Formats: sequence, structure tokens, C-alpha cells
Amino acid sequence: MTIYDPEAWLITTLRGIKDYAKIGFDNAVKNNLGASVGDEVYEIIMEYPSADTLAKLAPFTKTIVHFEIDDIDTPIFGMGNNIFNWNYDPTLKWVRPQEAQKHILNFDVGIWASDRSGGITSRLRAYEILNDLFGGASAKNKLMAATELNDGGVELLSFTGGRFLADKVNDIIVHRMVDCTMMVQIFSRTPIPETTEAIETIEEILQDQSGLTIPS
Amino acid sequence: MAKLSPYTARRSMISIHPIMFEQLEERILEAKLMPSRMIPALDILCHIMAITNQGIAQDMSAGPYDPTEARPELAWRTPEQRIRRISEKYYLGWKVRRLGIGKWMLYNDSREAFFIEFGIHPSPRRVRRPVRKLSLIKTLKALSTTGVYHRIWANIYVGPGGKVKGSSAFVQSPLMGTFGGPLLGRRLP
Repeated sequence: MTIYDPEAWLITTLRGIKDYAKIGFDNAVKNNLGASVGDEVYEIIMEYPSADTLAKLAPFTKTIVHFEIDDIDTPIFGMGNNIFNWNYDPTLKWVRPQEAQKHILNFDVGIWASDRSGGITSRLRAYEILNDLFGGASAKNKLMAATELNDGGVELLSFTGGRFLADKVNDIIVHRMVDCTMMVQIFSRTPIPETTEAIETIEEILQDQSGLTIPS
Repeated sequence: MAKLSPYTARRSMISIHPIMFEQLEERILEAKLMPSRMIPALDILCHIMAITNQGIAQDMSAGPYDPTEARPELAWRTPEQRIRRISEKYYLGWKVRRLGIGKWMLYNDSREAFFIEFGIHPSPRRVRRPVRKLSLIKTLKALSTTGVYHRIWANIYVGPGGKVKGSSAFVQSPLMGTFGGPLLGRRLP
């Protein structure tokens, strides 16, 4: 499972969501012995399937679930320059500030199922699993717990929509889900600047109180 | 009062400018003094937002004009690149319709709109070009720089099963909250 790293925020977010979804889908299907076999039924792709991918995979033996980033919103929050950690070095008398940012990622979520991969039932089941994994308050907690290790995590904001339609890939009927949106929120930070970019500090002025007198 | 600037293009009535939203905000604040005027003022805001969304969607659909399809290199252009116009039905198909008080819908009545939005095509070559969704996001970002944004919190994009197609938004009043600003979740009027 990929843990969220604020300094590699986009990579770890995508990999974290992929791993979380992959494990979730894997555990959602059990064989007769009770073992998880969902990875033989579902495939998670973190982009809209390209023409080459679709041509290669058709007819789909697995139901494909895709997550594609449609928008990354980085709103301004707080006042000033958003430095959250100055990294003060008392020996060298400098600071190496790190900036924090907030990002809201807007994903398009889609399902691609063929008759060979289970057809309409497979598509419905995939949506049910998606809703378990990403819809509701418990899903929010589960995604955060799966990606967090004392340094932030992926926070689920919403999972909405979903429209079912039939499409064709190379004359093979594909049962798709479109128009489903998932939004997550993360907080990133810039890496610690190099020592050459360090900023010298103005140290405090200490006053010897023993010599102070109160004028009469 | 909202300022409606005459636009020079043929068959056009107004142009959208950020100042317009500032003035709309003033109108809404003024309408607070008389509750009967409040809902019409918010209805105008929704209408202008829908028109703004329509303009951005048209902009994304206003790619190079190629009626004979003589330039295949222009195919599959993304919304940011502006989608190629063949018959122009898609470009001209963006329309705004009133569903009720404070409810305005942006839609495209051309047949190809559905295919373009969701990447549906019989050939293996297909590209998803979500103009409707991206234009709505762009509209909200544009509005976030104006004075009315505190009234609009559209973080959820609702599908066709939702009550509002395109986005879900609720409205709040700047004066009904605490001293620190508007209280989240309050609804107008």
C-alpha cells in the first residue's frame, strides 16, 4: 500500500488511490475457499483508457475501472506566504522555509465491462464496490487510514454521479459507466530548500538585565 | 443594479465581465432590505452564471472550422485546444434553459454532444472531451475571483440522477453568519 507523501503529493495520491481500490476490489470477490480473487475479475487503471489499451484489451476479460484526473484546483488558503515550517538551524543561523499548499483533485471515474467480463451484472457490481470504497463517511475514514502514516493522507470529499450506457469497441459491445466524479483533497509541501537557498536569520537581541536601573 | 454591457457581435446581447458580478452582489445586498426582491436577484445571479458557463463551453467548442473534414490532423482536439467544427451543430448547440426559480440548465442539443462528452465512438480511436464538466469548473474558478463567490459553494458535481444537472450548489448570506464571516450551511433567503 502506498503511503501519502506531501512532498510527492501527486504520485503518492494516485498510487495510494490505485492500491486502495485494487485491494478493495480484490477483497470484494471471494472464491469457494474464501480467498480474495477480485484481481482476476477487475483491473484498475489510473487514466482514461487510450485507444491502444482498449484495442489490446478488447474483448475485456476483466472489468476495467478507470480514474482520470480532470482538474487540479490549488486554492489560496490562509494569509501571507503559507510557510508552515521554517526549519531553523540555531548553529548556522539560517532558515530553510517550506511552503504548504492545498489541492483538490477532480477525478472522472468510469467502468468498462464486456459480456465476457460479466456484462451488465459485472458493471453493477463494480459500481457497488466503488460506492463501498469511495462513498460515505466510512469510506472517507478508510481511505485516509489506508494512505496516512503521520504525515497527511488522502481525504475523500465526494463521490457522485454515474450513468450507464452501451458502447462499442471494435464492434464488441461494452457496458460502460460514465459521468461519475470523485473529489479528494490533499495538502502538499515543498521540499526543504538547498543550503545555498537558505535565508540568514536576524537573531534576538539579548539584554543583560543586571545592569538595568530604574531612573528616579 | 447589474451592468449589462452591449456586445458588438451579431445577435448577442451582453458580454460577461467581472464587474458585472460585483454589481450583482450589490444588487443582492440591496435586495436583502426587501425579501420579495431577494429571490429574483438570486435568480438573475444563477442566470448570469449559466450564461457564463455557456460562453466558456462555446469557447471550448470553437475550434478550427473544417466543414469538408479535409484536415484530419485537427481531429480529436481537446477542450483546451478547442474542438474542431465540422457541421458547427455542436458549437451552436449550447443553450441555457430555465427550469425554475434559481434553476438554470446548460445543455447541448446536438447529437454529437453526448459522444464528445463521454468519448463514445465506434472506432477504437476515441478521446474523452468533457466540455460540459470542464466549462463548469472553469466557470466556478472564474467566479471565485468575484464578489459573489461566497454565495456559491459547488463542490459536488451531480449526475443526471441528481436534482440539478451539472452542479450542486447552495447559497448563503454574508450577513446571516457570525462576525468572522458567513456561517456555512445557511440558505437564503
